[in-house]
Amino acid sequence: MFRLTLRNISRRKLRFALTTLAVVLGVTFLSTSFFLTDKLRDTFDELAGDITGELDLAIRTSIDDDGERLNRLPVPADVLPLVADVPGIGSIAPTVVGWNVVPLYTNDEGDLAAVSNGGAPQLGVNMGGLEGHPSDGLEQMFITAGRSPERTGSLHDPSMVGEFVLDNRTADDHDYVIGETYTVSAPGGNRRFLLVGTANFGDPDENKAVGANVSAFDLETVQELTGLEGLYTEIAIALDDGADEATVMAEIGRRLEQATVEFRAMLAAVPEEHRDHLAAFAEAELEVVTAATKIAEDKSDFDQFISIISSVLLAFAIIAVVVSAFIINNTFSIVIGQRVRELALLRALGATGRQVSRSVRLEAVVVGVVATVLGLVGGFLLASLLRWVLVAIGFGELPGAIPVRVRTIVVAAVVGIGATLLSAIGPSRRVRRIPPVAALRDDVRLTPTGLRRRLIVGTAVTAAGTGALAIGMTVDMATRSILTAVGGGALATFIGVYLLSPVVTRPVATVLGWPIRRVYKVPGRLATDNARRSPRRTAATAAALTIGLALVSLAAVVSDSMKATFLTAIDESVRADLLLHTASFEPSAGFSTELGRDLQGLAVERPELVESVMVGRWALGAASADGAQRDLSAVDLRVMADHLDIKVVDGTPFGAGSDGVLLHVDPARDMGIGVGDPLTLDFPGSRSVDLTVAAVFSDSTMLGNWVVDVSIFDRYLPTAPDAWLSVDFTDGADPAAARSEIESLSAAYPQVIVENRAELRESSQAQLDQLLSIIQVFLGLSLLIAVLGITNTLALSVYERTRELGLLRAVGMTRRQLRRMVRWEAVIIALFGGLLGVAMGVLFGLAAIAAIPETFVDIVSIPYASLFGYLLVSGAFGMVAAILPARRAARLDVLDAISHA
Amino acid sequence: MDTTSTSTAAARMVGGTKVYGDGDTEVRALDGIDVEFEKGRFTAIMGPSGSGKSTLMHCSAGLDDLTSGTVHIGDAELGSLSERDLTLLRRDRIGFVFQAFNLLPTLTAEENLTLPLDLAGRKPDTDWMVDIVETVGLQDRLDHRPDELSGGQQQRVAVARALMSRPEIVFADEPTGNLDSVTGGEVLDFLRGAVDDLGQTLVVVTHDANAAARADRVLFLADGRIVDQMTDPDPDRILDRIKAIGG
Repeated sequence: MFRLTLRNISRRKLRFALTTLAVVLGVTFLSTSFFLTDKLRDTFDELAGDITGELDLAIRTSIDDDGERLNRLPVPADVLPLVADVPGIGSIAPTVVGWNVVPLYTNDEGDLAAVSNGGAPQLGVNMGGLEGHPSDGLEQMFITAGRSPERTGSLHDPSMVGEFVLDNRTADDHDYVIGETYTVSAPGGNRRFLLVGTANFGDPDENKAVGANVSAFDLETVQELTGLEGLYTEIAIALDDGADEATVMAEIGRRLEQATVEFRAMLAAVPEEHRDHLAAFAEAELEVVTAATKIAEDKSDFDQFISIISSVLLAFAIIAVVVSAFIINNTFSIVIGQRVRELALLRALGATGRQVSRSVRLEAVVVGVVATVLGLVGGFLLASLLRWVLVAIGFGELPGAIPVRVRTIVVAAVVGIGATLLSAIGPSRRVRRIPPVAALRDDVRLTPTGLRRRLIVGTAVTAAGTGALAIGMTVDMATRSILTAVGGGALATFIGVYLLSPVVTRPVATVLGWPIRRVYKVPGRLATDNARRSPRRTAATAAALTIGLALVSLAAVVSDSMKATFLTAIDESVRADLLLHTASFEPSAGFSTELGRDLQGLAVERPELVESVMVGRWALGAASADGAQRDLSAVDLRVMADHLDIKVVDGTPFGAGSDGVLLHVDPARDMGIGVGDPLTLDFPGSRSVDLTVAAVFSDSTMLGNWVVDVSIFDRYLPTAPDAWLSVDFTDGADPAAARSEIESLSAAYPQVIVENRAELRESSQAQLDQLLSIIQVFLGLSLLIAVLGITNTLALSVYERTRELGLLRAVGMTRRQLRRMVRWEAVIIALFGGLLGVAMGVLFGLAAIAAIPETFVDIVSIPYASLFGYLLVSGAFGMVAAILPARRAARLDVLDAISHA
Repeated sequence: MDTTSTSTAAARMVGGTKVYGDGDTEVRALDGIDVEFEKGRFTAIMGPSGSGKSTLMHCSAGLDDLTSGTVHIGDAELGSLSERDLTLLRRDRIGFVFQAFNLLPTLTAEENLTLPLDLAGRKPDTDWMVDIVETVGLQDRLDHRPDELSGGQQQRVAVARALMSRPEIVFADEPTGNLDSVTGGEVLDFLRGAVDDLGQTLVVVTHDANAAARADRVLFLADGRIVDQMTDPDPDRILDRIKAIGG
């Protein structure tokens, strides 16, 4: 039987190829996601090791285990001399890394422009250590041209021109020239610098600044520039050869503890009003960690980012595999149906039902193995292509081979062979029932179990699914339960509809075919008949398209509703006349507080134009409250009501002065607290602050769920930059005049975008549309597999109907009419799948909107035009799918076709 | 029908040669055939398996092309027609009846009947259709699908379809080959009637002497050549002749 199976495969190459292709695509996408993710992870893991260099230990402030590392406080500079003489320390150097250090340049149009990198970090770092302390092996930047920057004087004098070095990729990309003077816009303000060199970041031989822009300065200068005067991001230590790491760590730890106690005692002696900006850091707890810890943390930071890419790729791969599984199952069913006579002949010659069944499964295994191998090769090639794309769009370098892990191969094999085998189980069971006498009859069909059972099971499953959806949409319960109900309900509904779809295939195909019959008469009529002919086949073929379109429609409905919600929120909540923000989505993105001060100065000087200017900041996981890390927004509570309407339902924003905290109704309800209740926030460095709930609000679109006064950030998160500014014009002021005054000040910060309400609405809409189109393209790729499925079915149907086609040609059907017939059959199948998909997508979308917290979506908006467009697209996909089968059908030799067995 | 034609032949083949394969595997299915199928006459083609009788029919009907020689249907030379024109010629001027699988399974008997006309976008001549349907006795079977018809009924629908467009010539390939003798006899009666009553030109390929005996003329093929012919045949003489040929 084994040899027979193999021979069978080698004879029916086309059929085998069609069966295999669907699995190949599924495995290709699956393995691509692994290959690419592994490559990214390896690259970033290596990067984490490289940028650590020869560092053995690092001193820094501690944060909670689950704290947001971005919010780690800097280390007071006074710490360094306290530990520098610990025996065993070879080199010791301060490390300063400041965010939002943006090099400016003059662009081709002669305008001041900011280096932008699509949202990657823009960092300012120090070059060189402290005098009197050797810092060998602890460098962050390695000069490749020119020289290191020197201190020229204090930047507190705005006219002072300093020196800086750029990472060589940024310098190359924006044509920076050594010896020229540039402006660098940093948290400490805009200052002029002479470019004295270019350098590699992280590694002497290769720039490891993956996509980031790195500017380097001498230590004091970068401290001034990034608001870290008297502070280091951390202290880096390299040990002497032979020094015992544990012993050195223990001694450093002892001294740090002593230092903390001393700092706190000193701090306590200083009256509150005399404390300087360093006071905030003196409270923080210090720790010493090994290079291994740092590398592990960096890896896990990178990992979060890679996980997002990985999840997206994997989600798509899973969709691809599911779609492929539908196609291969369908293909197997059709192929087995066509081989009934041949299998019956085997039975007549003495093969047992089990042997025949086994030969079908064996064929599936061969298909699965071949498809897995091809899919892995395809995945490797696709991953290589994607790597090239990533590098081309400036993601950074991804050198070296793409890693081939055993895990990738195993998963690909399990999925590829498994999915194929599973798909073959049904058909392989059915062939057991083929009676040997079928070999002698002319027109035998495998009679599948009746539709009645399908109708019953399908109805039950659909009812359960929609029931769960309805519960999720209407009943008030915890978010998690809602998501479970909606997710499970959607899945059950999909399966139920899939089971039921053959039942409705005939009537739906008749309706869809009506215009086609009107226009194309006989070919249209036959196309409709053929689509109606085998409801299971049509339904199974359409199912692949249904999955893709359901997802696309779901995304369209949800995102359209989100957009409507967001835009309405902007309309309703933004009262300010102008908003200033950066284009970056980086959590720590922002700009110098000097801009805010300048604008506030304008409000004082020109009160007839500007009423007030409000500073906005935010920080991810900034503080913990009630046992969880909370994202905080900080605004000027005093003037907030003039700038934003966050729909206060109880209390007043400034009701507790600057010690107030504003809570969204959801966390207020979850925590069971309200206006007037005390609330403690724990900031990084083990510092707590007792606040009072001043107001509860219901619109979290602009500020999120937690809002505090900006003075709280000044004290507890002093490194958070201004993320945005809003400007309220004086009543009766000429908006154009006011705006031009504002822009004359903001022009020095080209990384800052100035928008009025209408422009904000427009750019937000454009961003959301862009995001949606990326999602749609991704999901749309699964439609390509579905197209293949239709091609597959049609090719097999054409093969099966060879004699009919021959007859039609003999009695005078032209090739064009024949192609038309095949093409419109495909369109009907595709539209059937499309209709089901769009209908389910809308249903799921509505359910998802009900499940998603109102913060993100509370307005339902159904994009009818887009949905109709998707239907047209699915019809067009049907046409594309039909090209090859139609051509094949038209080229059939009439005589051969008529005599086809 | 074409009245400007100077010939009395509905179809004719001159020097018809059909060669399959080459070298050692070369088979001359037709080897220089000259034949005319006269208008309004019933011609039967007989011969042993592999004699070329089916090939002769296929080439005469524009289903297959000759290696050399010419075929005319009326005044149209088939070799000079494009694939599309050949298809339209088959649709409009030729009728076909095959041994089996003559009908589209998804269409009713009536729809199958009018298929060539529908493909051409022409309205069927209702009176003519009523005539034909009555003649074949399918009045109460018109809305049935092929799988609801007996083999004989299916063949009668096929014959009716071949006549529907009043073709210049009807080719039938073993039209009774799958039928029992009684049913086959009915189909033959009907074919004979079409020639006698309607003046239809008919060419039937068969290996059944009784079927051939209903023809006006029988051509005997062997090894791709016409080796004999017989007018006003009867079954016994046909059988004798076949034995003589060695079929």
